[in-house]
Amino acid sequence: MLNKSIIEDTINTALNKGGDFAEVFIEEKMSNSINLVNGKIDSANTGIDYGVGIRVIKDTNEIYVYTNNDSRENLLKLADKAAGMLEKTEIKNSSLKYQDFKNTHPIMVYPNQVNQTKKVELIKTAYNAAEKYDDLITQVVVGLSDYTQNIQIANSEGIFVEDERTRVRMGIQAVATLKGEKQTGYHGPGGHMGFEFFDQIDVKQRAKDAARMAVTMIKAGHAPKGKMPVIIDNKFGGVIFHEACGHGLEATSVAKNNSVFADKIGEKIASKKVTAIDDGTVPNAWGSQNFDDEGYKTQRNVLIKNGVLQGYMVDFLNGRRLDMKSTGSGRRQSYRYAPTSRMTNTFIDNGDLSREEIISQTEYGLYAKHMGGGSVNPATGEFNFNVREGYIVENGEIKKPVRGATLIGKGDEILKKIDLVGNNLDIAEGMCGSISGSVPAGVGQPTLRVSELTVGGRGGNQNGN
Amino acid sequence: MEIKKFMNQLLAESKASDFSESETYLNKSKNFEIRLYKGEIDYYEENEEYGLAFRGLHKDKMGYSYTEKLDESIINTILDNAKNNALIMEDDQEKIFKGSDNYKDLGSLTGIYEQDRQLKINLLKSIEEKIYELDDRIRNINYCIYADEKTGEQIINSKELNLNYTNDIGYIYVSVVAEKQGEVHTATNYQLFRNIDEVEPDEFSRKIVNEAVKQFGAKSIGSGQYSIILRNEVMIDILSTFSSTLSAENVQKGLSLFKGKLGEKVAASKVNLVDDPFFEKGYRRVPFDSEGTAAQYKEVINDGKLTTFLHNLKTANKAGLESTGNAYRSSHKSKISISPTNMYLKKGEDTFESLLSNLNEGLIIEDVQGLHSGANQVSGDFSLSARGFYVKDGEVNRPVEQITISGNFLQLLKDIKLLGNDFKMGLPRSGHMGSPSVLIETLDVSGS
Repeated sequence: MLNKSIIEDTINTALNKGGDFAEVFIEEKMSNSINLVNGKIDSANTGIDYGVGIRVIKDTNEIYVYTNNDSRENLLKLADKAAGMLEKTEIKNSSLKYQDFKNTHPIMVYPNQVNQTKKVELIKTAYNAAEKYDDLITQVVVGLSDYTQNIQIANSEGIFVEDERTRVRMGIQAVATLKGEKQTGYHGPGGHMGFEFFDQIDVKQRAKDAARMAVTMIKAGHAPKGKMPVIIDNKFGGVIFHEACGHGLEATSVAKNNSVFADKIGEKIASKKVTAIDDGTVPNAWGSQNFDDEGYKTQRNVLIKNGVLQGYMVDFLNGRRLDMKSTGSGRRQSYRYAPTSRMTNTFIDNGDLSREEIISQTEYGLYAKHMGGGSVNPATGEFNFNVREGYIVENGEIKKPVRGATLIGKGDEILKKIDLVGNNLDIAEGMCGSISGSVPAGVGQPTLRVSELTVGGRGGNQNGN
Repeated sequence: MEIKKFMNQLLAESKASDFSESETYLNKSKNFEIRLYKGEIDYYEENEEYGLAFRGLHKDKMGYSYTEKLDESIINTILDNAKNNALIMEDDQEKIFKGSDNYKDLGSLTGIYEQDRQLKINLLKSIEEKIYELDDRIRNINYCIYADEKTGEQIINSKELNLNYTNDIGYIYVSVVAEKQGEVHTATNYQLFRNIDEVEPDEFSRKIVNEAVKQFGAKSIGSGQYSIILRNEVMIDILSTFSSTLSAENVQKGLSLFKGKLGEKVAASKVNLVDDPFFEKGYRRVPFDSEGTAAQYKEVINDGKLTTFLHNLKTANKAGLESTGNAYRSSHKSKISISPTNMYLKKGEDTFESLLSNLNEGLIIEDVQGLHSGANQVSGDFSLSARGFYVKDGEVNRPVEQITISGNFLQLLKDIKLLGNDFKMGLPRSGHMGSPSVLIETLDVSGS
């Protein structure tokens, strides 16, 4: 990592040459990954990422350069060159003040201190549980990855922070085969934690559940097609809000009028049962961190309250474009990316119904027990996501499993169609890809019902449409 | 520390450190990118970067590690990490390669990275201006990106192999938002090139504007089975998503739907799928693969028959075959896996108009979304959000949106009735795919 005077000189070089804002982001990251296939450890890798990103802004024009070479000479040269792309303004100098803080995400057992054989043991525990679950399970792939990322962030507003982020995650994929067809089940538990995370979750149970999912789906028929009510379960079901609405509430898309939610603060954009929050401060949660990747403290941002839009997730540059303050939402995958506004842990808040009550109030529809991933076009609000484990609900009861369902719709419409909200809020882990790379993001919600969504499956039109 | 010196020192010290064979792999690139927004350069990026990977045989197992820090002090850490990883390996027949007998000389490329930056900026500006001029309903050009790069790979190993190459390529990517009375649609266009003269700004701009404004009035369509034309860019997306099923690694691990189908008919007789590392329009134009095996041209599907899987040294050894030169590292951070180089469906003779008249009634699919989640590489099933046009009596009748198309990749290959002559190469992912538009017997469509 770098000493304060080199960082300060780099920032001042950029300011003297043409920027009205300059920022330095230094990253050193140690990563480990181990994968098991067919019961055997198939690959293991360890590595060190190291680099420096320099960002210079004038008005709303942004220059970004990065390098692996952290010598003073190289950094000053790059800062000079980057700022030289901008027109010169009045000269000012900046001095950095180190910002002390209380770490809200303490790490107990650093993954780098954990013995390789202990990691292998944990992987095999998951493998054995999934593999023995059923004769139809023909393949299990287990991956374990961890990293510790050390960062320094400083900018010409005087911000200077240093932080460390440790995350661990396990991915368990089970494959079931029947009559030449294959279906998969998956769990990917992770946390902004050290290895103590694996004392807090039941790896065996997660592995068995991945196998159960695959076996259930291989025996399932095709999902129906057409419009129908859809019940989306809690935890990873929150991916619906993340995709359908969350991306449209990022300043990245709002600032350039590329979002269906632009200029709508104070307006009712959702059913009054919907309160939605992005919270980067949840202790040790997957998408949490003390500071965002621009050095601003993460916050709990209420996005929608009782259906009314409260605000956006804002980074520094888009804050300039929108005349808004940073909400601690500037994130990036690594020093290779300029930061922009992104989600942290995003969820719909609790209502008052139980899962059972929601199902029993549904005459016909799809129950999405486990969601896969999805994507959205923020300009039109059109989203899609896939259902990993789905069931048909008839007369208030779960009837039979169905496979291959995709849900599509428009974000602004779905928000208004959420008609029942449960009381079992929980958050699950995902990776979110966007213009500043792939970042860990928590998604969550209680079980909820959308009165009507288009379900894309290969089965018949079961509700007569 | 100088990179070459670091690589040599690492190799030398690995020998003393109980590695019987070892290799260093260097990934190097320079890249340049600008994004325009309303006539101004809104984002500018210029970088030079490198990353170095090490792998070595320790107690007969291959251990991996990588670094982006090249201090002398880190050499021991790299070797220790690789050893610790080697010690837990259980399924491993990886070896360090002594090299192929011959490598094809790909000649020198144009060096687009070094071309005049002002010309690149002017090209992008002219595209942005033209798009706004062409139609008032273009509300916004949300992405207007020019980027180019010079990338190189180098392999030096203890079997005295020392190979390297560099490759230059550029691309333009544009995305627009069109609006009419509150109705909003988007469209994108892209092109890869080795010389900016290959880009025709008028044609590029017209295509994206047409694609955007033709969607006005779009609505869903009744669910059912439809005959379908998949536009070249859509077929490219689908091929990219399922290309991993042709990897021998996935076949051997029981994760490919092509397992046990070698030599069998897996596609319609018209279908020829080629992997060509020397393809001039290809992004991954390489003389050797990531293990140092000479790259080679091959037909993976020949007249509908599956003729080979894609191999690296490990899978080839397991199958008793020769490597097909498809070993791949997506970066210094990844292990040796398998990827196509430039893989494409050979074009047919039909014009797009001829595909339309053969379709008679059905849908043209212009764009699909959700490939990373709505397509399962293991089962081959896909269900994707889509938009396009409804075709009646061989003519475009109306735009269609908010539908999904579903099917299975294996069935899709068998259901290809006609291949168009409108060949295009896509944006590179792990491999680089190309395709013409194709006419498909039927797919399931879900709509209103």
